Amino acid sequence: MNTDYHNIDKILDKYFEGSTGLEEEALLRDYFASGQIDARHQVYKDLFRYFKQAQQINNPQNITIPQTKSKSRRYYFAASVALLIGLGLVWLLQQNQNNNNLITNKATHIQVSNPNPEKKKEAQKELKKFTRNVSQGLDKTGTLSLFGQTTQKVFNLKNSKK
Amino acid sequence: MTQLEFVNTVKRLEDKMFRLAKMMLISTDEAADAVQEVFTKLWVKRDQFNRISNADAYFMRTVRNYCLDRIKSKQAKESRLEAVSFMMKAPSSEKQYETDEAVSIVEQLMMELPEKQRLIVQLRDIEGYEFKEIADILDMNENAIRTALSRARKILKNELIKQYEYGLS
Repeated sequence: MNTDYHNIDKILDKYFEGSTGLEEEALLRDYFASGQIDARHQVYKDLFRYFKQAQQINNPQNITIPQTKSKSRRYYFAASVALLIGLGLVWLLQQNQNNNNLITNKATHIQVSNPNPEKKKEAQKELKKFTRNVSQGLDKTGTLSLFGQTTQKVFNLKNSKK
Repeated sequence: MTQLEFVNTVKRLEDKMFRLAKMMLISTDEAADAVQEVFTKLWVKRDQFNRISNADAYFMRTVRNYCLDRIKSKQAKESRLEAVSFMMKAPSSEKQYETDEAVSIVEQLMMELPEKQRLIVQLRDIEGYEFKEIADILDMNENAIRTALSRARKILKNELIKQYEYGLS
C-alpha cells in the first residue's frame, strides 16, 4: 500500500482546524492504525491510538429492564386485593361472633352447673342477706307512708282554716 | 417506538451513553448508574418517541443532562473528585482495557481540557457524530462546536509536540 503522505499532511492540517469530514477522519484513523506512519506524523500517533482504545470501553453493568405491567393486569391485581380484603373482613367478623357466643355459653355453663357446695352455700347466704335487706327496706316504707298520712292531715287542717 | 425498537436502540447506544457519562462523572460506578437511571427514565417515556427525529441525539442529550444534574449534587461531586484524584495518582489502574503510558498521557491531556471541549472531542473523535448531532446533544450551535473542536485539537496537538520534543531531548 502506497500511502500519500502529502495528502495526510493536508488532511491533518484540516483536522486541527476542525474542518475535516467524518470520512477524512476515518482515513486518518486507518492511517495511524496501519503501522506505516511517516516520521513527521509520529507525534500524533498516540492521539489516534487513544481514540481507538477509548472506543472499546464498554458499560460494565448489565442494564435491567423495568417490569412492564399492562393496564388490565393492574386492574386484575387491584380487584384481587379488594376481594382478599373483603374476605378477610368477613372472616374476622365471623371469628368475633363465634368468640362472643363461646363466652356467653361458658358463663351459662358456669351458672348452671357450678358443682362447688361451699360456693352454693355462700351464694344462698348472700341471697338471704339480700332478702332481709329488702324486707327491712319495705318496713321503712311503712314508716314513710305513716309520715305521708300525717303530713296530709296537717295540710288538710291548714286548708280548712282558710 | 415499540419495546423491541427501544431495547435495540439502547443496546446500540449503551456503550456510547456509558462513555459520555464516564467522561462527565469520571467515576466508573457513577457512570454505569447514570446509564441505568437514564434508561429507566426513557423507558417510562418510550411511547412518546415516535415524535423524536433523532433517537441517538435524544438519548445522548438525556445522559448529558442527567450527568449535569449529578455533577451539581454534592454526593456525585465527592465521588467525582475521588475518581479524578485516583486517576491522577494511578492513571492506568481504573481502565478496562490494556493501555500504555503514551496513551495514558493523552488521556490526561484530554482531562485537562475545558469540559465542553473535552465532550466535543469525545463525541466527534471517539463516537463519530456529525456536527449537527453534537450540537443537538450539547445544546449548542454548529459553528460554536467547530470552533471549540478546533481549539481543543490544537491544544492537544501543541501538548503532544511538547511531550514528543521532551522525549527526544
